Amino acid sequence: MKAEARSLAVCLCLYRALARAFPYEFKNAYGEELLQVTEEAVALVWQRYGLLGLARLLLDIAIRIPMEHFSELRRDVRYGLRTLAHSRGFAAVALVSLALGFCIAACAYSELHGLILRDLPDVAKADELVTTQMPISYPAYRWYRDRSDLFSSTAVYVAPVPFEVSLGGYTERTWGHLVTPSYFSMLGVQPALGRFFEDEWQQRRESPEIVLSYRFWRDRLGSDPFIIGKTLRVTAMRASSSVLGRRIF
Amino acid sequence: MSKSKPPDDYLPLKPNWLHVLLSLSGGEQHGYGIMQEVLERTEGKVRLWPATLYGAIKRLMDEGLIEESEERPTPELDDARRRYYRLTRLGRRVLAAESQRLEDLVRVIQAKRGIPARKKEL
Repeated sequence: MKAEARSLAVCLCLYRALARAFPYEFKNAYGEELLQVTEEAVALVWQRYGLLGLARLLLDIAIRIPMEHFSELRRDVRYGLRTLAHSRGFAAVALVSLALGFCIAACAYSELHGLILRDLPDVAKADELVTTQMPISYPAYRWYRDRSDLFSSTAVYVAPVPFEVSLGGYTERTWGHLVTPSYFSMLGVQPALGRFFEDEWQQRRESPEIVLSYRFWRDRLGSDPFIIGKTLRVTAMRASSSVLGRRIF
Repeated sequence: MSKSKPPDDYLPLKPNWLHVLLSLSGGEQHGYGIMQEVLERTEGKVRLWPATLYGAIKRLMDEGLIEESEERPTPELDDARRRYYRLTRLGRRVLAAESQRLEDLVRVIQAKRGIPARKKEL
Protein backbone atom coordinates (compact mmCIF):
# COMPACT_ATOMS: atom_id res chain seq x y z
CA MET A 1 0.00 0.00 0.00
CA LYS A 2 2.86 2.29 0.91
CA ALA A 3 4.68 1.40 -2.30
CA GLU A 4 1.54 2.15 -4.30
CA ALA A 5 1.09 5.57 -2.69
CA ARG A 6 4.76 6.38 -3.23
CA SER A 7 4.64 5.27 -6.87
CA LEU A 8 1.55 7.35 -7.55
CA ALA A 9 3.04 10.38 -5.80
CA VAL A 10 6.29 10.13 -7.76
CA CYS A 11 4.41 9.64 -11.01
CA LEU A 12 2.18 12.64 -10.40
CA CYS A 13 5.15 14.74 -9.37
CA LEU A 14 6.96 13.86 -12.62
CA TYR A 15 3.80 14.38 -14.61
CA ARG A 16 3.32 17.89 -13.18
CA ALA A 17 6.96 18.72 -13.90
CA LEU A 18 6.61 17.53 -17.48
CA ALA A 19 3.30 19.37 -17.92
CA ARG A 20 5.12 22.62 -17.25
CA ALA A 21 7.07 22.06 -20.46
CA PHE A 22 3.98 22.40 -22.67
CA PRO A 23 3.81 25.57 -24.78
CA TYR A 24 2.19 28.50 -23.03
CA GLU A 25 -0.95 28.44 -25.18
CA PHE A 26 -1.61 24.77 -24.44
CA LYS A 27 -0.88 25.16 -20.73
CA ASN A 28 -3.12 28.17 -20.52
CA ALA A 29 -6.05 26.43 -22.20
CA TYR A 30 -5.78 22.84 -20.97
CA GLY A 31 -3.00 22.62 -18.39
CA GLU A 32 -5.14 22.52 -15.24
CA GLU A 33 -7.72 20.27 -16.79
CA LEU A 34 -5.08 17.85 -17.99
CA LEU A 35 -3.60 17.59 -14.50
CA GLN A 36 -7.01 17.14 -12.96
CA VAL A 37 -7.92 14.32 -15.34
CA THR A 38 -4.55 12.67 -14.73
CA GLU A 39 -4.99 12.87 -10.97
CA GLU A 40 -8.38 11.22 -11.35
CA ALA A 41 -7.11 8.54 -13.72
CA VAL A 42 -3.79 7.64 -12.14
CA ALA A 43 -5.21 5.34 -9.46
CA LEU A 44 -7.22 3.39 -12.03
CA VAL A 45 -4.19 3.16 -14.31
CA TRP A 46 -2.18 1.73 -11.42
CA GLN A 47 -4.88 -0.83 -10.61
CA ARG A 48 -5.22 -1.92 -14.18
CA TYR A 49 -1.67 -1.78 -15.54
CA GLY A 50 0.64 -1.33 -12.53
CA LEU A 51 4.03 0.29 -12.98
CA LEU A 52 3.90 -0.15 -16.75
CA GLY A 53 0.73 1.91 -16.81
CA LEU A 54 2.42 4.74 -14.93
CA ALA A 55 5.35 4.58 -17.33
CA ARG A 56 2.90 4.70 -20.24
CA LEU A 57 1.22 7.73 -18.68
CA LEU A 58 4.55 9.56 -18.47
CA LEU A 59 5.55 8.46 -21.95
CA ASP A 60 2.27 9.82 -23.28
CA ILE A 61 2.98 13.31 -22.00
CA ALA A 62 6.68 13.15 -22.94
CA ILE A 63 5.72 12.42 -26.55
CA ARG A 64 2.97 15.01 -26.61
CA ILE A 65 5.15 17.94 -25.44
CA PRO A 66 7.38 18.20 -28.55
CA MET A 67 4.34 17.60 -30.76
CA GLU A 68 2.54 20.55 -29.19
CA HIS A 69 5.61 22.74 -29.56
CA PHE A 70 5.88 21.76 -33.21
CA SER A 71 2.18 22.43 -33.69
CA GLU A 72 2.49 25.91 -32.15
CA LEU A 73 5.52 26.61 -34.30
CA ARG A 74 3.64 25.57 -37.41
CA ARG A 75 0.73 27.81 -36.49
CA ASP A 76 3.05 30.73 -35.88
CA VAL A 77 4.79 30.22 -39.21
CA ARG A 78 1.48 29.98 -41.04
CA TYR A 79 0.20 33.08 -39.29
CA GLY A 80 3.40 34.94 -40.14
CA LEU A 81 3.22 33.93 -43.80
CA ARG A 82 -0.44 34.93 -44.03
CA THR A 83 0.34 38.31 -42.48
CA LEU A 84 3.21 38.86 -44.89
CA ALA A 85 1.04 37.83 -47.84
CA HIS A 86 -1.51 40.50 -46.90
CA SER A 87 1.03 43.32 -46.71
CA ARG A 88 3.37 42.73 -49.60
CA GLY A 89 5.26 46.02 -49.29
CA PHE A 90 6.16 45.24 -45.71
CA ALA A 91 7.05 41.68 -46.73
CA ALA A 92 9.38 42.96 -49.45
CA VAL A 93 11.13 45.35 -47.05
CA ALA A 94 11.37 42.61 -44.43
CA LEU A 95 12.80 40.14 -46.94
CA VAL A 96 15.36 42.61 -48.27
CA SER A 97 16.36 43.56 -44.72
CA LEU A 98 16.69 39.91 -43.77
CA ALA A 99 18.69 39.14 -46.92
CA LEU A 100 21.04 42.05 -46.21
CA GLY A 101 21.35 40.98 -42.60
CA PHE A 102 22.19 37.38 -43.58
CA CYS A 103 24.65 38.64 -46.17
CA ILE A 104 26.45 40.93 -43.72
CA ALA A 105 26.52 38.25 -41.06
CA ALA A 106 27.83 35.66 -43.53
CA CYS A 107 30.54 38.03 -44.78
CA ALA A 108 31.55 38.97 -41.24
CA TYR A 109 31.71 35.35 -40.20
CA SER A 110 33.63 34.44 -43.34
CA GLU A 111 36.21 37.13 -42.61
CA LEU A 112 36.37 36.12 -38.98
CA HIS A 113 36.82 32.51 -40.00
CA GLY A 114 39.54 33.35 -42.48
CA LEU A 115 41.44 35.69 -40.18
CA ILE A 116 41.00 34.25 -36.71
CA LEU A 117 39.10 30.99 -36.39
CA ARG A 118 40.68 28.92 -39.13
CA ASP A 119 44.20 27.54 -38.78
CA LEU A 120 46.56 28.89 -41.43
CA PRO A 121 46.80 26.33 -44.23
CA ASP A 122 50.09 24.51 -44.74
CA VAL A 123 51.58 26.09 -41.63
CA ALA A 124 53.33 23.75 -39.22
CA LYS A 125 51.95 23.95 -35.66
CA ALA A 126 49.35 26.53 -36.64
CA ASP A 127 47.70 26.20 -33.24
CA GLU A 128 50.89 27.48 -31.57
CA LEU A 129 51.04 30.70 -33.58
CA VAL A 130 50.40 33.92 -31.68
CA THR A 131 50.40 37.51 -32.80
CA THR A 132 50.42 40.84 -31.03
CA GLN A 133 47.11 42.60 -30.88
CA MET A 134 48.57 45.95 -31.91
CA PRO A 135 51.43 46.81 -34.27
CA ILE A 136 54.73 47.05 -32.43
CA SER A 137 58.00 48.88 -33.10
CA TYR A 138 61.07 47.11 -34.44
CA PRO A 139 62.96 47.48 -31.12
CA ALA A 140 60.01 45.89 -29.37
CA TYR A 141 60.10 43.05 -31.89
CA ARG A 142 63.81 42.55 -31.20
CA TRP A 143 63.01 42.27 -27.51
CA TYR A 144 60.49 39.50 -28.24
CA ARG A 145 62.89 37.85 -30.69
CA ASP A 146 65.62 37.61 -28.08
CA ARG A 147 63.30 36.08 -25.49
CA SER A 148 63.89 32.49 -26.51
CA ASP A 149 62.19 31.35 -23.31
CA LEU A 150 58.95 32.83 -24.64
CA PHE A 151 59.00 31.98 -28.33
CA SER A 152 60.80 29.32 -30.29
CA SER A 153 60.80 31.57 -33.35
CA THR A 154 59.60 35.07 -34.20
CA ALA A 155 59.02 37.13 -37.32
CA VAL A 156 57.65 40.53 -38.16
CA TYR A 157 55.88 41.78 -41.23
CA VAL A 158 54.33 44.92 -42.66
CA ALA A 159 51.26 44.37 -44.76
CA PRO A 160 49.72 45.17 -47.07
CA VAL A 161 52.41 47.12 -48.85
CA PRO A 162 51.90 48.46 -52.40
CA PHE A 163 54.65 47.54 -54.87
CA GLU A 164 55.19 48.81 -58.38
CA VAL A 165 56.30 45.78 -60.38
CA SER A 166 57.72 46.21 -63.88
CA LEU A 167 56.57 43.40 -66.14
CA GLY A 168 57.31 43.26 -69.84
CA GLY A 169 57.62 47.00 -70.34
CA TYR A 170 54.78 48.15 -68.19
CA THR A 171 54.45 48.75 -64.48
CA GLU A 172 51.73 47.28 -62.40
CA ARG A 173 50.73 47.90 -58.81
CA THR A 174 50.47 44.83 -56.66
CA TRP A 175 50.21 44.23 -52.93
CA GLY A 176 52.66 42.30 -50.83
CA HIS A 177 54.35 41.95 -47.47
CA LEU A 178 57.66 43.19 -46.16
CA VAL A 179 58.94 40.48 -43.87
CA THR A 180 61.96 39.57 -41.79
CA PRO A 181 64.11 36.65 -43.02
CA SER A 182 62.76 34.37 -40.34
CA TYR A 183 59.18 34.77 -41.59
CA PHE A 184 58.85 31.55 -43.57
CA SER A 185 60.98 29.38 -41.32
CA MET A 186 58.90 30.54 -38.39
CA LEU A 187 55.72 29.49 -40.22
CA GLY A 188 57.29 26.19 -41.17
CA VAL A 189 56.06 26.32 -44.77
CA GLN A 190 57.81 24.84 -47.76
CA PRO A 191 58.30 26.60 -51.13
CA ALA A 192 57.18 25.10 -54.42
CA LEU A 193 60.47 26.12 -56.07
CA GLY A 194 63.76 27.54 -54.75
CA ARG A 195 64.22 28.22 -51.09
CA PHE A 196 63.15 30.77 -48.52
CA PHE A 197 65.28 33.45 -46.86
CA GLU A 198 68.19 32.59 -44.66
CA ASP A 199 69.56 35.15 -42.23
CA GLU A 200 73.22 35.36 -43.29
CA TRP A 201 72.44 34.59 -46.88
CA GLN A 202 69.99 37.50 -47.02
CA GLN A 203 72.34 39.95 -45.34
CA ARG A 204 75.21 39.50 -47.79
CA ARG A 205 73.12 39.89 -50.93
CA GLU A 206 73.17 43.22 -52.61
CA SER A 207 69.74 43.09 -54.10
CA PRO A 208 66.88 42.00 -51.89
CA GLU A 209 65.20 38.69 -52.49
CA ILE A 210 61.51 38.32 -53.05
CA VAL A 211 59.10 35.46 -52.69
CA LEU A 212 56.41 35.28 -55.30
CA SER A 213 52.96 34.04 -54.49
CA TYR A 214 51.64 31.17 -56.52
CA ARG A 215 48.83 33.34 -57.86
CA PHE A 216 51.18 36.13 -58.97
CA TRP A 217 53.46 33.61 -60.69
CA ARG A 218 50.53 32.03 -62.49
CA ASP A 219 48.63 35.22 -63.48
CA ARG A 220 51.43 37.73 -64.10
CA LEU A 221 54.39 35.61 -65.06
CA GLY A 222 52.62 33.02 -67.13
CA SER A 223 53.69 30.15 -64.84
CA ASP A 224 57.33 30.61 -65.96
CA PRO A 225 59.15 27.42 -64.85
CA PHE A 226 62.54 29.19 -64.93
CA ILE A 227 61.56 32.10 -62.72
CA ILE A 228 64.07 31.32 -59.95
CA GLY A 229 67.00 33.75 -60.08
CA LYS A 230 65.42 36.09 -62.56
CA THR A 231 65.37 39.81 -61.74
CA LEU A 232 62.19 41.82 -61.32
CA ARG A 233 62.07 45.59 -60.92
CA VAL A 234 60.02 46.31 -57.84
CA THR A 235 59.32 49.88 -56.63
CA ALA A 236 62.44 51.44 -58.16
CA MET A 237 64.72 48.67 -56.98
CA ARG A 238 65.86 45.43 -58.47
CA ALA A 239 65.11 42.22 -56.74
CA SER A 240 65.80 38.69 -57.80
CA SER A 241 63.10 36.12 -57.34
CA SER A 242 64.60 33.53 -55.09
CA VAL A 243 61.65 31.32 -54.43
CA LEU A 244 58.18 30.64 -55.43
CA GLY A 245 55.50 30.23 -52.77
CA ARG A 246 53.37 27.14 -52.88
CA ARG A 247 49.80 27.07 -53.91
CA ILE A 248 48.10 26.74 -50.60
CA PHE A 249 44.42 27.24 -51.37
CA MET B 1 -10.56 28.06 -37.17
CA SER B 2 -11.37 26.74 -40.63
CA LYS B 3 -15.05 27.51 -41.19
CA SER B 4 -15.37 26.86 -44.87
CA LYS B 5 -13.86 23.38 -45.08
CA PRO B 6 -16.37 20.78 -46.24
CA PRO B 7 -16.73 17.64 -44.04
CA ASP B 8 -15.09 15.41 -46.63
CA ASP B 9 -11.85 17.36 -46.26
CA TYR B 10 -11.44 15.91 -42.76
CA LEU B 11 -11.70 12.32 -43.90
CA PRO B 12 -10.35 9.89 -43.04
CA LEU B 13 -10.50 10.97 -39.42
CA LYS B 14 -7.70 10.11 -37.06
CA PRO B 15 -8.77 7.29 -34.73
CA ASN B 16 -8.46 9.51 -31.65
CA TRP B 17 -10.59 12.20 -33.24
CA LEU B 18 -13.22 9.64 -34.18
CA HIS B 19 -13.38 8.28 -30.64
CA VAL B 20 -13.75 11.76 -29.15
CA LEU B 21 -16.45 12.72 -31.65
CA LEU B 22 -18.29 9.46 -31.01
CA SER B 23 -18.17 10.08 -27.27
CA LEU B 24 -19.64 13.53 -27.72
CA SER B 25 -22.33 12.35 -30.13
CA GLY B 26 -24.42 11.34 -27.13
CA GLY B 27 -24.18 14.77 -25.50
CA GLU B 28 -21.69 17.01 -23.82
CA GLN B 29 -18.88 15.47 -21.83
CA HIS B 30 -15.85 16.54 -19.85
CA GLY B 31 -12.35 15.21 -20.56
CA TYR B 32 -12.38 12.45 -17.96
CA GLY B 33 -15.86 11.40 -19.09
CA ILE B 34 -14.67 11.09 -22.68
CA MET B 35 -11.72 9.00 -21.56
CA GLN B 36 -13.93 6.64 -19.55
CA GLU B 37 -16.57 6.40 -22.23
CA VAL B 38 -14.01 5.41 -24.87
CA LEU B 39 -12.53 2.81 -22.52
CA GLU B 40 -15.95 1.29 -21.78
CA ARG B 41 -17.24 1.47 -25.35
CA THR B 42 -14.18 -0.32 -26.68
CA GLU B 43 -14.16 -2.77 -23.76
CA GLY B 44 -10.73 -1.58 -22.69
CA LYS B 45 -9.14 -1.95 -26.12
CA VAL B 46 -8.68 1.77 -26.64
CA ARG B 47 -7.45 4.05 -23.91
CA LEU B 48 -7.03 7.73 -24.62
CA TRP B 49 -4.21 8.79 -22.32
CA PRO B 50 -4.70 12.27 -20.85
CA ALA B 51 -2.11 14.18 -22.89
CA THR B 52 -3.21 12.45 -26.11
CA LEU B 53 -6.84 13.18 -25.27
CA TYR B 54 -6.23 16.87 -24.69
CA GLY B 55 -4.05 17.07 -27.79
CA ALA B 56 -7.00 15.71 -29.77
CA ILE B 57 -9.47 18.02 -28.00
CA LYS B 58 -7.30 21.03 -28.81
CA ARG B 59 -7.09 20.09 -32.50
CA LEU B 60 -10.82 19.42 -32.69
CA MET B 61 -11.53 22.79 -31.06
CA ASP B 62 -9.14 24.51 -33.46
CA GLU B 63 -10.86 22.86 -36.42
CA GLY B 64 -14.28 23.81 -35.12
CA LEU B 65 -15.53 20.24 -34.80
CA ILE B 66 -16.22 20.54 -31.09
CA GLU B 67 -16.82 23.50 -28.78
CA GLU B 68 -17.03 24.23 -25.11
CA SER B 69 -20.50 23.83 -23.75
CA GLU B 70 -22.00 26.42 -21.46
CA GLU B 71 -24.61 23.99 -20.17
CA ARG B 72 -23.56 22.37 -16.95
CA PRO B 73 -25.04 19.65 -14.77
CA THR B 74 -26.88 20.44 -11.55
CA PRO B 75 -24.62 22.10 -8.93
CA GLU B 76 -24.49 19.00 -6.73
CA LEU B 77 -23.12 16.94 -9.64
CA ASP B 78 -20.96 19.68 -11.11
CA ASP B 79 -17.25 20.24 -10.63
CA ALA B 80 -16.45 23.90 -11.34
CA ARG B 81 -12.94 23.04 -12.56
CA ARG B 82 -14.26 20.86 -15.36
CA ARG B 83 -15.02 22.02 -18.85
CA TYR B 84 -17.66 20.33 -20.94
CA TYR B 85 -17.40 19.83 -24.67
CA ARG B 86 -19.99 19.17 -27.35
CA LEU B 87 -20.12 18.59 -31.07
CA THR B 88 -20.62 21.54 -33.39
CA ARG B 89 -22.80 21.27 -36.45
CA LEU B 90 -19.67 20.75 -38.56
CA GLY B 91 -18.50 18.10 -36.09
CA ARG B 92 -21.78 16.19 -36.53
CA ARG B 93 -21.50 16.37 -40.30
CA VAL B 94 -17.91 15.18 -40.20
CA LEU B 95 -18.83 12.31 -37.89
CA ALA B 96 -21.71 11.34 -40.18
CA ALA B 97 -19.44 11.49 -43.24
CA GLU B 98 -16.79 9.38 -41.52
CA SER B 99 -19.39 6.83 -40.39
CA GLN B 100 -20.67 6.60 -43.94
CA ARG B 101 -17.14 6.18 -45.27
CA LEU B 102 -16.43 3.39 -42.80
CA GLU B 103 -19.74 1.67 -43.56
CA ASP B 104 -18.96 1.77 -47.28
CA LEU B 105 -15.53 0.38 -46.56
CA VAL B 106 -16.94 -2.47 -44.51
CA ARG B 107 -19.43 -3.24 -47.28
CA VAL B 108 -16.63 -3.40 -49.81
CA ILE B 109 -14.59 -5.71 -47.58
CA GLN B 110 -17.57 -7.98 -46.97
CA ALA B 111 -18.38 -8.13 -50.67
CA LYS B 112 -14.79 -9.02 -51.49
CA ARG B 113 -14.57 -11.76 -48.91
CA GLY B 114 -18.11 -12.99 -49.34
CA ILE B 115 -18.86 -12.30 -45.67
CA PRO B 116 -22.53 -11.65 -45.03
CA ALA B 117 -23.34 -8.38 -43.27
CA ARG B 118 -23.96 -8.81 -39.54
CA LYS B 119 -27.51 -8.18 -38.51
CA LYS B 120 -27.93 -5.21 -36.30
CA GLU B 121 -28.58 -6.14 -32.71
CA LEU B 122 -31.84 -4.85 -31.41
